[in-house]
Amino acid sequence: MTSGLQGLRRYWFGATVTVALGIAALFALVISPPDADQGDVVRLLYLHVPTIWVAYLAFFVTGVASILWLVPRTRRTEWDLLAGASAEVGVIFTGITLVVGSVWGRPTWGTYWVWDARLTSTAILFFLYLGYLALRRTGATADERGKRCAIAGLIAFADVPIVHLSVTWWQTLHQNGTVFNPKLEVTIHGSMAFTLVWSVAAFTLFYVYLMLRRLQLAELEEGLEERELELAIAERQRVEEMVTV
Amino acid sequence: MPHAWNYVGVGYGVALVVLATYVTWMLRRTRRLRKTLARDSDG
Repeated sequence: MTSGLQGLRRYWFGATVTVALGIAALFALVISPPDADQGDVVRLLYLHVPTIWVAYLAFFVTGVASILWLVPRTRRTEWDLLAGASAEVGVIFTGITLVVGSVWGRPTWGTYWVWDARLTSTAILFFLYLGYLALRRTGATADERGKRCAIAGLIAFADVPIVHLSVTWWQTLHQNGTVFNPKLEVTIHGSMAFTLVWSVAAFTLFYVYLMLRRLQLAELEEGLEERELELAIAERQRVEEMVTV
Repeated sequence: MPHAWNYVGVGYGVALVVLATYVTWMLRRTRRLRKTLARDSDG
């Protein structure tokens, strides 16, 4: 009964997220006007900004979960699984940010890629967390894995503020923040601002959905791992008993 | 700006394909693992 209710709740949450993303796409691709300078290519803004926002959020959650795992009083396996689940979602969104930004760069800057401070630090962020995910797959006990991943998760998070502030610190090709710039001067208005805010909210909900589903999958993977370990131990004991007899 | 919609299409297309593939993989793997664990506990 409880799992049925949970399933129903998950279904409705998934449906809500789909509708929110659908409305975001409608505003981004149809209702919002083209930009005076960039024309229709500005529509990539409504995808590029929400995806990097989700990546920041995901890595922040990984960082917090890592701290909670490292502190002995709050240490629980769930924090380690949450950190891993959130990092995986973050890597997917960072990858999308890089691709979409690159596609946007071609018509606006005349190039797909340039070793600009923002682009380079974002690429480093992507590879740092890709390394973190690889580290999670190395063989170790749950405790060893938790410790090394929590430390790696916190080290990698140091790049997030660098990525965000890179446009202020180095003033290279990438433009300053549309909303979160040093003077907090919002440089977007009207239906374009609404579309951006809606897209960010819709993608945030999507992140929560993905993260909960990934966490559930991680718990199942953990259960399977334990089950396989139990079977392996039982098999070994059986063989040892046969040898003794 | 010429061919602007091409770039918009590529950007949104890539995002859609990546996210749809990820969600499908996640849901399928969840279903498969659930079945495996249920079978193991029954057996």
